[in-house]
Amino acid sequence: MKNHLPSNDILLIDRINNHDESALADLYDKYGAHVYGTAIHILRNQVLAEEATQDTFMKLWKQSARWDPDRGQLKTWLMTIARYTAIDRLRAEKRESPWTAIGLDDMLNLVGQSNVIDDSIWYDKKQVEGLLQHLSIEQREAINLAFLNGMSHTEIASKLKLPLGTIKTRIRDGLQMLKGLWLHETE
Amino acid sequence: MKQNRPLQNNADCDELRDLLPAYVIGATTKDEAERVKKLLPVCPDIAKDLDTYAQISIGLTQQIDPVIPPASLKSKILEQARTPEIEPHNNVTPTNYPKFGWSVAAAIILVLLATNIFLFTQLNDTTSRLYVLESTNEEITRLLTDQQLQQIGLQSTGEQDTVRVATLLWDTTDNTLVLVSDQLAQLDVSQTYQLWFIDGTTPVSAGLFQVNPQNRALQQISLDTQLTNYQAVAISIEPSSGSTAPTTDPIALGEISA
Repeated sequence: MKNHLPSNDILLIDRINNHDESALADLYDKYGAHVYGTAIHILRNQVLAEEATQDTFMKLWKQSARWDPDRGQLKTWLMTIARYTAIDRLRAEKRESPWTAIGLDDMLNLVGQSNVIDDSIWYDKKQVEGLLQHLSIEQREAINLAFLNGMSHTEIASKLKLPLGTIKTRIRDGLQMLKGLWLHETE
Repeated sequence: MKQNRPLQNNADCDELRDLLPAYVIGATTKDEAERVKKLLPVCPDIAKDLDTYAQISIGLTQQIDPVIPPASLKSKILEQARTPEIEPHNNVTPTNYPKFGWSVAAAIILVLLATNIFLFTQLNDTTSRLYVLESTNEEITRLLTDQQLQQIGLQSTGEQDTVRVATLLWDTTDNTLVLVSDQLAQLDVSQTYQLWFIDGTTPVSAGLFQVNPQNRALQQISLDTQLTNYQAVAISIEPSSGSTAPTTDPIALGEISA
């Protein structure tokens, strides 16, 4: 199924590909709060969040030609870069090893291959929150530590002082439950 | 009819089913991630779930509320976008380039190798900052045409023959510095080159830089202390937002003479 993407995003990226700075300003006006919100949520520090936001928009400014409108929304692409950049910075600030479990290119390829439709429930925050409520607190905690802090199974197990198998199970079962709920909702 | 594709091994596919959700959100270790990539083509039935988990990953991002950024951030981003990448061949007259003694450079590297100065230690200084490299056409042109400036060559640290991969141009009268390179490869978008000045065994970040599509870098460096306070300069490859301490071995090294 092909995406019916907002044509203004395609026009926006076309202008950025032509180094139109006003297009970058428009992009920032449209998505800057979302990018900064992600950065501040992950980094919990305004200075670091500003730097991560700046890095995110510069990555897009330099690599805009890599976005394929047939493979997902611009906002998804941008937010994926934002999350990756913020987690990268978080780990650097904590003097942890770089987040190597999945590279940015792999991550962009992953979100790019999901055939997103305009009325996907995943763009309705209230519906997503409703689905997440079906998970246990422990499952949500493990998933958030991975998703928002870039922590691996092993690191989460060490942080929570729990067996590795327990953490793997919580993440797997939590996401499999979300998968089941999502498929049910979209039937 | 025999199908021309790898046979599905139930144990492998069970393993993929277990790892796939965590892989999509980045919770696997590096080895597990490699394992997933190997198993995906072998277990196409399980691989179909990749799409759904990717959707979930998108959904989890949507949970985060937007936050209005500080008013100054927009202008910083637009200003950075306006800063052009310098094309050395458009701005430099090669005949003005001072000569460099290769024999001196080779001697520096031999000394550095002998003293094991390659060892990097973690910084304990929580006030260490990343200097953002800035470039101005006017300043760089002035420096490059000044035949009084000193050159510090950074030699590659690979096992093969060492070559000079970058040069630090240093105006000793006012401590102006410019980094010039045309031997470094372009990096993945998730990586950056980072310059370090080394004081004893302590590396201090001098900022991040990129190479242009012609593999050239030319940037001015801001330093708030005398260069002679440091004994060596190095380049490493770091995550795109930089590091407070090197996370990889240096790819190039040079000695700073007092």
